[in-house]
Amino acid sequence: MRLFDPHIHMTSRTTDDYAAMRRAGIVAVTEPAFWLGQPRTHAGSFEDYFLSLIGWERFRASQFGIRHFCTLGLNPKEANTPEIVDAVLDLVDLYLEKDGVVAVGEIGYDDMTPAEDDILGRQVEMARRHELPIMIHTPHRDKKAGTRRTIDLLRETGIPPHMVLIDHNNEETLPAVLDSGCWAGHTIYPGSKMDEPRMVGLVQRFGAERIMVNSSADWGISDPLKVPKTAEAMRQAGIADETIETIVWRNPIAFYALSGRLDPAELETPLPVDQRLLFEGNTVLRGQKPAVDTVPAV
Amino acid sequence: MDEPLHSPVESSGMQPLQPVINALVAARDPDSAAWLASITTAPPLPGSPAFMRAFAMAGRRLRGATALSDGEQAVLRFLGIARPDCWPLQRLLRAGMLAAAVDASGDEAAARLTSAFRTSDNEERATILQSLVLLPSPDRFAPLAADACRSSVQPVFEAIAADNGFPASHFTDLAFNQMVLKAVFTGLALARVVGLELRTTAVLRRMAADFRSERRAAGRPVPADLDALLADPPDAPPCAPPDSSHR
Repeated sequence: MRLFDPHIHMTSRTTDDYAAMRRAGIVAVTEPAFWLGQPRTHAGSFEDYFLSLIGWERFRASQFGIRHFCTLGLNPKEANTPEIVDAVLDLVDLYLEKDGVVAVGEIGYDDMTPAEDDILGRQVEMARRHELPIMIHTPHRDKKAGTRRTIDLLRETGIPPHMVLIDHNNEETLPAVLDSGCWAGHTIYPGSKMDEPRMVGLVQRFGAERIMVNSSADWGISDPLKVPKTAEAMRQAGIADETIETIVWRNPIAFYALSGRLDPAELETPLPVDQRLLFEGNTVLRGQKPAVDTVPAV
Repeated sequence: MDEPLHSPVESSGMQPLQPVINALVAARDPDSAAWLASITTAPPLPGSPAFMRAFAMAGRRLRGATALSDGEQAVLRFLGIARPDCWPLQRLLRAGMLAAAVDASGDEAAARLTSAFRTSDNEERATILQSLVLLPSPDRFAPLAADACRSSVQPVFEAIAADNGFPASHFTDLAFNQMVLKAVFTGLALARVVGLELRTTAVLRRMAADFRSERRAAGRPVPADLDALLADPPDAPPCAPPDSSHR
């Protein structure tokens, strides 16, 4: 079964991860712009980050047969850095038009401060202007209230709910998200958020409609193979292949295709691997023989 | 205490602090006391290269100095330091520098201290956060302190959230509540949050109750501190028994 990880931070991962993901069936990923573990002190740092998401990282993924898309935005944690936010939002506005950018995100709430309200509202407006879907991060702390507040804000803006993916759900936020008409993401983490057995339980209870799972793998303890592992857990639990495929393949494609920049038909064909290619003169190889038309071994 | 050294900032509202620090340092290392006096006489402004250099150098002084006596700790507690037993002497030296430099900054103090914080390492950041209660007109540093709660570096987060009277005295409800929830998330014992009992509101209790409910729905153990914060025993057992595979 082909798999799509709709939320993973590949910039923080290794080429071994790319190779293992491809072997496990992951052929497409979306990488949301997010924070890097500590706040950036200059708006210009975001520009280089955005450029790498639409450039070098796309190339790196392609070298392992994986199609790479991204979402751009100012994350809620750094929305609280008043010295840089206006300049960063100008950059978001500029780079949202680039090829491979399939949504505004990840945006939303962290501490639920007035600054976060402001930045979220401005980016929702930006998504409307660029006719892009929105990828929402829900907070770790005070999660239920944060999710409700996000849904209320989106409703007030009049954004159609099918244009919104609300991520990091759990047992207590999922019903409200599904009721809102938005898509619902679930992050399968080794020690927090959601795990495979609980996800199986949610699918058995709520089905597959508008449901997705992702690894959100990043620079912290996380696992880039959580989508294949969760698909396997669902299979073991007797969930039908068609249901699983809806969750790990069709739903992410349907959602990100709303951007008009992801062609579902193209995703049906494997991405040819050609490691002889260079990106701005640079290669991922370190003296190895370039793999061509095969999935590279680690 | 020995005869306090004269401090040029005595006249501006932080009377006892500098002489106390000077005396504590002088009792251990007269050279460091003279060095501190030379800096506080004409303090470089926080965030300036001269300040950041001296701030870093202070961390290399007073290594191996005698720990604070009970009497010395009592004096520091009186000045507002919640847990002087956790203060290395270098931190006191740096606090003396900070207080003088902030005092010399006038209206620019908040912006300058924010700039200093940004170019500090983790221990320097912890020192700034722990020293906020000692600085003149501390209220103006609340945005810096609230922002520090967003740090994913646990010692930096703990420097503001734990053993520090600043949040209870100067944080908005929003910032204080988020800090308490983050303390529970990161395993920081709530007993170390100074003034928690005075700042526990209906909203904070609602946030804690929601979090407890999420943990139960996920089949995960509820941190004991959450129950303590909610001050009444759980009215139902967890949905599933605690499972050691779920951290």
